[in-house]
Amino acid sequence: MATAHTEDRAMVPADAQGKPFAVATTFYSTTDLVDAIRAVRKKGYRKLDAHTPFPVHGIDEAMGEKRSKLGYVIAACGIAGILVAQGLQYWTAAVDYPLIIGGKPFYAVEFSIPITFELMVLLASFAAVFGMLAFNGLPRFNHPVFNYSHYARATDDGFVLVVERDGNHFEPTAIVELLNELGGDNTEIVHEDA
Amino acid sequence: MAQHASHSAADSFRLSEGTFTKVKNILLAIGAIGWILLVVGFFVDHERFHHSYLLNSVYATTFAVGALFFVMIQHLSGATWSVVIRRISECLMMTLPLAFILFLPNMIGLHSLYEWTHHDVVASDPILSRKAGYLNEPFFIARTIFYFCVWMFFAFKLWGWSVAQDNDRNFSYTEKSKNLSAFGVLVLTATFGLASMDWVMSLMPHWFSTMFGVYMYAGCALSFTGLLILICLRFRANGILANAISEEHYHDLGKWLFAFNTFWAYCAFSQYMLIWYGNLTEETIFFRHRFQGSWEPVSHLLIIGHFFIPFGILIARWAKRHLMVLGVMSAWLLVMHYVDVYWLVMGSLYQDGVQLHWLDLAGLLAMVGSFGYVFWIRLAKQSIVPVGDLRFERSLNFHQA
Repeated sequence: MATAHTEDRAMVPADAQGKPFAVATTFYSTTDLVDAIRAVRKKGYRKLDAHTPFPVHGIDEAMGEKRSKLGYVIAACGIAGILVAQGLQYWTAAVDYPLIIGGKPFYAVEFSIPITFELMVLLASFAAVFGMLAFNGLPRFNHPVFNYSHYARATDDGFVLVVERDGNHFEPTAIVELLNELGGDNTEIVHEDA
Repeated sequence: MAQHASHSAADSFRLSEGTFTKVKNILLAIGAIGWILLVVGFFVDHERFHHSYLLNSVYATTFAVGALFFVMIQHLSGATWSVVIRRISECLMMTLPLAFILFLPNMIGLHSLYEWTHHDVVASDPILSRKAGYLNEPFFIARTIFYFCVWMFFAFKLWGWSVAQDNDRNFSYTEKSKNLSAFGVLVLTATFGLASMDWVMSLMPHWFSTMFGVYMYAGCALSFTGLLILICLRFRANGILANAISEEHYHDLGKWLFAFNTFWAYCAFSQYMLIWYGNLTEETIFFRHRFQGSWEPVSHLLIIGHFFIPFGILIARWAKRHLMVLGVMSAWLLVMHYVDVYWLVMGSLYQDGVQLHWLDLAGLLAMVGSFGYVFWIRLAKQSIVPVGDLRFERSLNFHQA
């Protein structure tokens, strides 16, 4: 079981693996997967991940996924963009270096809106993109879950459920038993890279 | 997917006889009151009748145009989520022939409405005499007929295919509708832009704005979405399509409402800011009196009530999924859209200040009754959802990603 992944990673000696990262298993239908998620959560395991070839309805709810906090980060950055744009325009044009241009006031709400809008959108989109990456722990070059020998099936016809280590207390053999009981196929203890 | 299937099996896809008659009678009563008052008003105050009538016929037409736009966009994008609400939209779209008929009374009142119909004024005004080649009565009437005929062409085509598909489930209708919509949405955008310039912008014939058509078009899409949400919510309260149209669909409708309200504000501000910045007399006249006297609070109401309040509320996900909040915002935006059209039409006709008149209300009642009646009769004639659309089952089970 532990050497199954070494074929395609020939450079790494078979025994060079880190501590157990998770237990992974494969189901062959969405209903089996969602039922298994519910059962595993009922046993108290909270750090789960499911890998499926296509979006599965109801899976977020079964996993107890909370709404992402990203929206609040984006809103905060958007508001920051508004404040920066207004402050910048007011301070440069009306305080620090006032110039009469086209007979317009030094500062007016009317002409400050486009720049305010653009900066708001800019900072909010930065927050959305980089915040999403940060919340997902990206970018990274590899992930231990790829060490699961049947992981490729998650992009084809398999529904992979991963029960990750949560803190120091981790009894992989008990989880393997549980997942096998639930009908999981190719259940494996997945290790971190050495 | 599978675990959510057939949860709407309980819904009937036809209107029941009792509901149909009850609503029909209410709409007939509203329409009758409105039309009696309108006829009285026509003889009491001929001028004001035409002013109020233009306001209300334009207001009502925006919903039909918005419906045509919505149906075309759904075909064009191949949307699945909206299939369950497409038939209701199509029935609103099919009020276009009525919109055409009810627009005709404006044609006998051109002299009361448009300064450019007064030959003595035009002759002594170099700007208006230059525009006379476009702004003259025969061409104006011909254009109005042309706009409605173009819109009705698309509406009848899309409607015919959609109903035909109910019976034979032929996928080719979906393809045909998609292809026609690609062309149609361009034509609709162009013709409605011109129509709004004719009907509303030429009330101040010296003034011009290339943004004006888009501004009113945004109002069409917005007000139609608000009306569609309210109709669906009334249906839900009475157990019609209560399971078929779920929170997931309302969430997407809420997104439309939010998006087009924001787009409306975007257009409104773009128009205003360029005029403010250019500071040219012939452009600023539109806003000058609208920021004076009793028009000033109306302008402020539009900025705050039409944009900021709905924007602040509808931006939240929970608000779009909370049917009560969504319903209140939809109704509120229908009122704000009326204020907007009032501000555009009456703001040009009564530049000294707001002058409310009972005929405004009479015209509104007549339009609500007539348009509602035609919509309702149309809806009852066949199934109230496009049962023949191959995406229908998937639309019932739609979930937000």
